[in-house]
Amino acid sequence: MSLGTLVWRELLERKAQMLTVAFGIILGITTLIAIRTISFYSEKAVARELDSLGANVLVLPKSVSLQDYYAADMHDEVIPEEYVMRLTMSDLQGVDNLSPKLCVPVTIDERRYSLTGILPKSEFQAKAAWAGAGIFSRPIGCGAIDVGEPALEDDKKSLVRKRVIKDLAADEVLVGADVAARQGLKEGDSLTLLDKAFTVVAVLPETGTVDDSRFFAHLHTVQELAGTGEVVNCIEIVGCCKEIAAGLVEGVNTLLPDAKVVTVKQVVDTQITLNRLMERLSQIFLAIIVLVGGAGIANAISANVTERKREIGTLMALGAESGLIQRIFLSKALLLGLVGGVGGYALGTILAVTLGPKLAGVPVLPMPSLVLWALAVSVGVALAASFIPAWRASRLDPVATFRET
Amino acid sequence: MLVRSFAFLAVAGAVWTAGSVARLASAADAGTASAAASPGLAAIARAADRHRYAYVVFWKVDGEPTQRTRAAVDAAMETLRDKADAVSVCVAAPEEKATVDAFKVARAPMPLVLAVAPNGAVTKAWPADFQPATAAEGIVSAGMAACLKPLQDEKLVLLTVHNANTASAGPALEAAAGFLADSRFAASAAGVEIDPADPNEAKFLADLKVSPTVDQPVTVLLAPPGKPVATFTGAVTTAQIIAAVTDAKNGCCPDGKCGPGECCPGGKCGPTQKPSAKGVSK
Repeated sequence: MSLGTLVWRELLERKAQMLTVAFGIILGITTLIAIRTISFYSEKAVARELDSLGANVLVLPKSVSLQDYYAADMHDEVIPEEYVMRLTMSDLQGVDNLSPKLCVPVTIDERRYSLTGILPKSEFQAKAAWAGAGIFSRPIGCGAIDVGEPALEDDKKSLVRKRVIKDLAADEVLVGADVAARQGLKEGDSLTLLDKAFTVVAVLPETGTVDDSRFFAHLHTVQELAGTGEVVNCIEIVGCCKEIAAGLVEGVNTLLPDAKVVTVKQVVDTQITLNRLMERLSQIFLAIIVLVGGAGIANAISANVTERKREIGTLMALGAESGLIQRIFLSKALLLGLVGGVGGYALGTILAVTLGPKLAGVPVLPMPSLVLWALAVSVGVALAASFIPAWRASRLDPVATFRET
Repeated sequence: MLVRSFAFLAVAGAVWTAGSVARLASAADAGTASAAASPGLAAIARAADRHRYAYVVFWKVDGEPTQRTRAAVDAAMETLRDKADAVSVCVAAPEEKATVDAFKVARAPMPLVLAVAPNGAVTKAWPADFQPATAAEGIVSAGMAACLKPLQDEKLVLLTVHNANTASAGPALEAAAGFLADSRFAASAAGVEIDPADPNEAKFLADLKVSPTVDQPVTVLLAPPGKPVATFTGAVTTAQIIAAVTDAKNGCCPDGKCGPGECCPGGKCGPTQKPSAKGVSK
């Protein structure tokens, strides 16, 4: 009888016990894989979002939580649009650009998208020069100057990079890359949103962010269509480094005491805190798997050895070496570890892919590289937990086992 | 004080001074007829015709804040009675649509007070909180107002500072004329000249870091909303001015923008790393 047959028979001998042990391992690995996969894609999405984000200060309604940055402009809370003018006309130093936003849901062909109202620069730019005599001596911006040349043909596409465009007519709409692909939209096409006819003036380049799933139209048009009044969900501010360090945020806070002013650094810090929490949670689960799973396996194998002392003694009396006995139990643990690892990876990945977008608000894809990690953890724990019972089995005295029974 | 427009801008300047109503109406895409019918624009034009500032109170609801602001403006006019007139504009009134559109203040915090110079430039805004003690901040020098107007129209300004005590301004003025005649900038740039010895311009010159006792003509390139882009002392060429504009247009974040991932969203950094033209400071 070969080792494989012996191990297989051994596994089938106590089906319920083996299934319970395998289920325990699978459950632990599932949790680990799901947390790791969601954390990975969440971190990646934040990094990508921040890379593409020109803005570094956000003005939000007081009640909006920073826990979910992606929802910063997708909530029901609003602030008055007049805040834009207050910022523009203030003597704050280091405000390079402003981008107010108002998001409302729209449905096309039973698909939900976000219609985001944006304010073109032409609506407020000139007011920056209303700040009075000191305007020539204070730092106003930190980006390239606008020399008043006519907007380039692809100027509107720069929205994804610069966060603001120069002009946008009331019936013009910019379309995110995903929306354009799904709806088959291209420049020059017409479409109806909230019962108003729009012309697609630009399909925006893919950014890999939520902007890909948005329509962008003039803020005042969106306000009118949605009946929200003169409000916005958030104002993005492109601030200059030096002035942010020198108190730009405090200045905005003083100017707009009824709003929440946060920097991207704070957003990043919040995300880092969240990721650390997930990482710690993951470590706690790992410890639980090692302790509980390992103890369970050790207990099961140990009980198995005790129950089957007579069979072990018979095998040894027939000439089986202690190494073979040890290999039988270790192979059994190895198989349990393999099943737990593969099963846990598969279930964890399915959970992450289906629940991730709902929990973290980011698209989540399978991570094949985690298969090896899952196998290493589950097999490692199973083998380590089985080692002592297997060693004990290999050290049994056949005569003593017959005497005891 | 000497404020002179370049010769080819003189006609336009004259039109500015003479026709505030038409000017503001044009900015608002409103017809001259509707502008003339707008009491606010008409009052601003009357003040401009008398070379006076207009302190315009925009309001939406005639509540306590509006009444307090109007009273504060009236009080301020006591001290500015030889320089400014008060104008009241209800943004909700249909007849004031041209005024509201001209200044694009429909979504502004109310009440809002604007100081409007005789040339149409808004020299100061007080959103929601006007204090009579700060009213004089709205009165600026003629040179500054001459620069603010084109800047508020999204134009570059080429300011030449010179007088009889400076070395010949000929080359600087020729360079400026060449720049303003360049087809790339003709429609988006304006020229202004001021006398450095004019005491009224002392504060403006100090803001621009130009000495009132300068012995060479100084050319300052200003970009909207009021950013000094380059300063040329002494002789300058049109090519140098264009090079400065091109540098500034392509450049970014000389002081470091905090955009995550990259300093400069355009990927082109930056004017401070490029060799500057001789005699140019930025």
